[in-house]
Amino acid sequence: MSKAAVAYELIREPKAESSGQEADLRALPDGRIVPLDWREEEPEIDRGSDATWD
Amino acid sequence: MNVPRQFARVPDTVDVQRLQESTVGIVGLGSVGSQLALQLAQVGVGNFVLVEGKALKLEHTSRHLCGAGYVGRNKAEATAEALSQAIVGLHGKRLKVFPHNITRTKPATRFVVDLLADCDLIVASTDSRDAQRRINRSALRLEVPAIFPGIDADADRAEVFISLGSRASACFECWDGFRAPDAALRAVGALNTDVLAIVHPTARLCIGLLGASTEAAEALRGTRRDPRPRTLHMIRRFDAPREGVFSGGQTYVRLTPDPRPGCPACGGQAPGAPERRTMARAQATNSRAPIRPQSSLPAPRASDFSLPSIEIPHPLNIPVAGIAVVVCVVLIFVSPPFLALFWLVLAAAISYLSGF
Repeated sequence: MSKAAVAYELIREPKAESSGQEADLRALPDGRIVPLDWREEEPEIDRGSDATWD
Repeated sequence: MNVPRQFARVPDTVDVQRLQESTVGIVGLGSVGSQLALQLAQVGVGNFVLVEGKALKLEHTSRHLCGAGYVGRNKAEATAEALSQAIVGLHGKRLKVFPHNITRTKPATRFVVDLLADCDLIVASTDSRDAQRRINRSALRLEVPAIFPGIDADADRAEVFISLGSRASACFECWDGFRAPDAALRAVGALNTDVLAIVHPTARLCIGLLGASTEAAEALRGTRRDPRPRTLHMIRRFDAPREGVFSGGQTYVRLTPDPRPGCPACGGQAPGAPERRTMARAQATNSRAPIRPQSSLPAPRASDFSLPSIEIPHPLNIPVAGIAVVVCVVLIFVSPPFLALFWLVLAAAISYLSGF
């Protein structure tokens, strides 16, 4: 087993008990920090009042 | 085996013996690297590989392990000497010093891999983005955990990133890829207290990664909601304390960056990729399931690095060697036979040593 795998083995199990004070966050590939359950909202389509294409 | 007396007051929760047998490679012996080396040596880490190409300047001494008496000396050599004076028994083969700039070598990967091959943990405490990325790829290739402490240019945010291998988590370039290659990750005007704010958690994380303290490793564990190891630790400083005197006005956030699809260093396997599913299934069925070795990881190539490389100067200066060889060749023809043989051997030796 490689040294990296050994280190991973040491910490791969989650904490048995969480303090509850720690927020679960994610780091997005663009550097933004967001809540774990955050979802990118799809931009609304501005159809306009006189849209005829639908 | 008894714990050496100088570590008698290290808490029992720390496995000093394990640390004594561990080797930590530190690339970059500036304010963070040098002070981190002392922190680790004081808790018992027994072997170091120190890599730094620059010399200590007087302006560095306001937040460097080494004081004014070391100005002008290579920072890795100075740190090694300071460590040997601070810690009994930490000298000789336990302190390997490489006074090289790893960004001025070609091929860079082989050079860094050779330097750090015996390490149990690699610390990239350098402000060079190029160097950080080279270390990341070398750590992936060596399958050694690596830790990347950094302070931003305004010294109001610091971060520590941990690489556990591409199959286990995002690599440094998965996280760091959003930054421009020349973006500054350096606090030129920081106080040493700000530097120590990142040195201390980095030291704890190192001890946890080396398997010497389950208490220290606890900071790396995930939660039940997101069980992935916390590989990014961020510290933000605010102008005024918000949570009382002892908080120091800082917040500490631990999180797990997602792999970056198409990451140039590790490929950035997206969550749910076959390898990850395999690992997750193995974990679910057998808590002792071994992690698959990364031997299939493609070896990084020197051409992967976007920044230009510079050859490290050879010990023998090339123009001087060239002139010496020409002189020797001339002397071969004008000297008696027994002396001509001597000049021939000398010319060959100079050519070989200089690469001329």
